[in-house]
Amino acid sequence: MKVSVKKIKKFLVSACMVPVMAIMVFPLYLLVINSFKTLREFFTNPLAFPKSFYLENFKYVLEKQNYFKLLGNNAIILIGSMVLLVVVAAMAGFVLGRSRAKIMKLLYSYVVLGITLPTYIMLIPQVKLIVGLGLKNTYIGMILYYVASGMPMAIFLFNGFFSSAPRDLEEAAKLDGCSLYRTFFQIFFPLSIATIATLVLIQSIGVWNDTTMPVLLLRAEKRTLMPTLQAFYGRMMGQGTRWERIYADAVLCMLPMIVLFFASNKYLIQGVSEGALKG
Amino acid sequence: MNSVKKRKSFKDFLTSDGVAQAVFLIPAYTIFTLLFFIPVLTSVYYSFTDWNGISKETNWVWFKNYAAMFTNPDIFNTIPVTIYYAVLNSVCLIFIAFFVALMLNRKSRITTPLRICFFLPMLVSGIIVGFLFKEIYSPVISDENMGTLNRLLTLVGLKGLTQNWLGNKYTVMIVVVLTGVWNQVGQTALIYLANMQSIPKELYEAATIDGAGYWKQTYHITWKLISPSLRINLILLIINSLKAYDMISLLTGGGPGTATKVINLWIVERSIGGYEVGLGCAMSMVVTIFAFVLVTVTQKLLANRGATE
Repeated sequence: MKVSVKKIKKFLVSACMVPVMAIMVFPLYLLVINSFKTLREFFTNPLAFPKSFYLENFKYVLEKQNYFKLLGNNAIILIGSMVLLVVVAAMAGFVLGRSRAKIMKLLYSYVVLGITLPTYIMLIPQVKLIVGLGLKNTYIGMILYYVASGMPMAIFLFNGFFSSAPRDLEEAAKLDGCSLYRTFFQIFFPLSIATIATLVLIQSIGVWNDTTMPVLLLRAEKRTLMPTLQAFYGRMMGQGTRWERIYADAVLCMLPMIVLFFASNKYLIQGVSEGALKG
Repeated sequence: MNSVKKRKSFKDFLTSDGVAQAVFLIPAYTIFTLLFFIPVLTSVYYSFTDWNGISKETNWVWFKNYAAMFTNPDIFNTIPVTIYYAVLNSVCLIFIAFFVALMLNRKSRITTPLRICFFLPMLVSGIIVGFLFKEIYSPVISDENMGTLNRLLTLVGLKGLTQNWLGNKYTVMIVVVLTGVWNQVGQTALIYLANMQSIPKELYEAATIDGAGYWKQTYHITWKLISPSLRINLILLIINSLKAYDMISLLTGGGPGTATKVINLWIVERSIGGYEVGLGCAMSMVVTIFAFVLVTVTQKLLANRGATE
């Protein structure tokens, strides 16, 4: 009897969550269904499911917006910056987390205090510096910028993970005559997969959705998706917005992040608890 | 022969512990110092000059920018609006995300879809959030059509509540914060959730044997044991609230009037639009110092929380 009361309670709580889920998904539902409508249908019936799947909007975006070129640019910048950030920050986080030298604490605070800075304060100096280094309109400039911006969070997570990783592993490796390089790359780095996945997801969202730096540093042919979407939206402001095309563009721009989310989903909780909560 | 020997000794040099540690640290610290730390210092320097963003020459003006900022009448609007937004946003998210995490921590058939529903919105960029919700809140989107929220209210028979959500200075801030909650609740809840899952199950079992109900357990065990995630969430929320720009600028542009003109809108307007980079940097410095003080104070308060309980 007791069990069944418990089960009913559980069911009721779940049932209460359904409307909450509906509210959370509703804006995304609107975005997706309206991208399959004609402008006429969007205006007359914006909430309903589309009568037929109208694909012209996507076709328009793929052709006129040069989607695949922009996607490629975005992918180069994203993958380049994430690989560099993960390798470089994991190496530094490993030494910071394992060494007992006093200076490590200082070095750790030097970078991690960066989390508390609103990053826009150094936007103008960063642009000047990147231009001064001759990296204007290059992918390398963008990549280095994102690596530097992500460094505080990355060091924070990796230091947290490596400082609580089991110590006997390191001693065993030392007994076997492993150098620090092999100990790191063959033993510890693969262990940190959950931290890597979490970091990559968090930072990728920031990189993918950045609309400021690409506009300041890259010429049109090297631009990324989000700034182009913003410009597309901005161009239509005066003359009657073609919502259905904007929605289709937005759906396509978000797609890669959704794929990344589902790929990293199973690591997220483990990654946060191993990296962020142990440090 | 000689070269082989030399290479070997170089390898020995590279693998000695101190050198290896330096090799591990140097790339990260070079990039960080060059593109993060030096720009911060440069920004501090600009805040003491009258640089306009273009000209070759700049003059050192000491605290003139800081004085200009605090004597500008706009500040009496901007600071309350910024604090109002930051407090409302952080407080809503801290509590709502806690309940969301509680729900996600249950074992039930809907846990996975629930997780996806709460985590997906954090992928949506500020631009998309901006125009999507602008359409939802707007009173009219074409000649005879209402925005989505008003349409829904009319459908369920609450026509009396329909209004220009973003154009009414009493509703605009609530609507902006709710949009922010929709966008960010997943990230905040994720950090809580990771912490909740590391709380030992035995504590709850013992409490159940002692006869404590669900809410008692939630308050005395869960809420009291999530200090680590509460600390991180507070830091991130304070910084993100003070950093908010994209979404507000797209949703309201600071309006109606100046009801949502948070400090970043002001900074961008003056430093980029008004060619007063020195002033913009000075204003940013003030925000940074404010954020830093706020973070330090909350961390100190939370440190006590951990110690007394």
